[in-house]
Amino acid sequence: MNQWKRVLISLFVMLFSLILDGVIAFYGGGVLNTATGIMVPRLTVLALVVLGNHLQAPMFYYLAIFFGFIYDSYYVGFFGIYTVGFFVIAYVFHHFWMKTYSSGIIYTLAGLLAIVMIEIFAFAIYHVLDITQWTLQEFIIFRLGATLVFNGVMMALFGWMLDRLMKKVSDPHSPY
Amino acid sequence: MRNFFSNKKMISLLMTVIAFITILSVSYNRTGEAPFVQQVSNDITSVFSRAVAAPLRFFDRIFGVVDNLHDTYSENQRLKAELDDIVRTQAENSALRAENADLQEQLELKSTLTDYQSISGTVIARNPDLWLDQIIIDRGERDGVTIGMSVMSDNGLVGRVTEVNPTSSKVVLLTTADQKATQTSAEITTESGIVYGVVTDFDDIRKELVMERITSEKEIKEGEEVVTSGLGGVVPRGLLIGTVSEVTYDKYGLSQRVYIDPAADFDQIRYVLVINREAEYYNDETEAGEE
Repeated sequence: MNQWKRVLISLFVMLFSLILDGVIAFYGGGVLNTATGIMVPRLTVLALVVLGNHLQAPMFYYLAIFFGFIYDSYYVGFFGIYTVGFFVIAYVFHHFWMKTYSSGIIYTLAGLLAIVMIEIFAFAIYHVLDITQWTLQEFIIFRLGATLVFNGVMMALFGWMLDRLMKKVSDPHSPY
Repeated sequence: MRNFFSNKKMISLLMTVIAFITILSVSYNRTGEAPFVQQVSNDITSVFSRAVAAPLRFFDRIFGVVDNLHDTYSENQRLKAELDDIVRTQAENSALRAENADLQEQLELKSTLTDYQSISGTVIARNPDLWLDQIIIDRGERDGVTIGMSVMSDNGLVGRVTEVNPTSSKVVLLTTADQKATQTSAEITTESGIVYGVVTDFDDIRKELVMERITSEKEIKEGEEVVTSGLGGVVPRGLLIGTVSEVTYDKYGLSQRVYIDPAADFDQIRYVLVINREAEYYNDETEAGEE
């Protein structure tokens, strides 16, 4: 029963973060695109990192692939980048959580690592497809830095909340 | 070799890479309608997106109203000053419209390059990864939207429709990094005549559009309006793109290069007009058939 609850809540959290990414990019257009750099909201990736600590292996991978597919379909228009990117993140962080403990700082650092991975992967693919002419230096200076700051703050603010929610669902008698 | 292929993880990895490259290349090179699964998935996601965006839109409207109230007095003074000029322009416009209709009738023209119909829509989301600067609007196939239609906001051209689902559509903006997707034929009416060119790029640092492939040597001045020329076949003529902010030469020093200050604010696109050109574009096969 708890397993199904966890899966349903995970589905809802992933869908909500995926939509929120688009809505933040839409309403915060002028704010996120600053002179110092572009901040890219990656709440879906952050949610995936936290959920990796609470879901079982095959189900977690299916969830990652499913939402990667939705992300590609709804936002990008062609398939592959986020379907594979989310799966790789899920695989890495599922193993990561088996080898370490979770805390607010670890969640934030893990979130930043995931953002670096997905950003570099997406940049590499877009570069190969000749969609962007940015150099690696430009990408790091104008995009990656600001994106890490924005998502680091988001993870510090909301990561622990999602963690507590998942702990509560897993164990209703949990002190959280 | 035998050990290599007996390694399950290695085979899974290779299969994943092959599947990734295949899916990416097939879907990236796809033209025309999106597959059924994608249409369904996009429309379902857009329903949730609308639900999340609705309260935000409400607050955005309230803040907009407060902001507008703040500017009301100064705007009122400016509008009063412009009113006399508008009355004169309106009279001139109606005379020209009547004259235009007479000439069209005499020439038996059904529709011209400037004729179009519009479909109004609301933006519900924007591609967060920003490599492909795309927005999602709440108008789709059921509302008459088709691939290739131009999209305007704030009286300025912002992009074109690249994907149509039954109740939502994807619009690629002129600011997107993928400039192959957004090239638009444009014209500038100068004092010495019309200058044609193509809007090819968006300068991220200057936040301005770039117009190139200008073959004419006619003098282009700052402040002159840049509009669509209608020569591309899909976009109607006369849609405002922006105004000339600087004129330079290309890297070879052969042709003029124009920086355009866009008429639309690409960071604040809330509502859009999807433009459906009425005039049919020239078709070799039709022409040959008629002959």
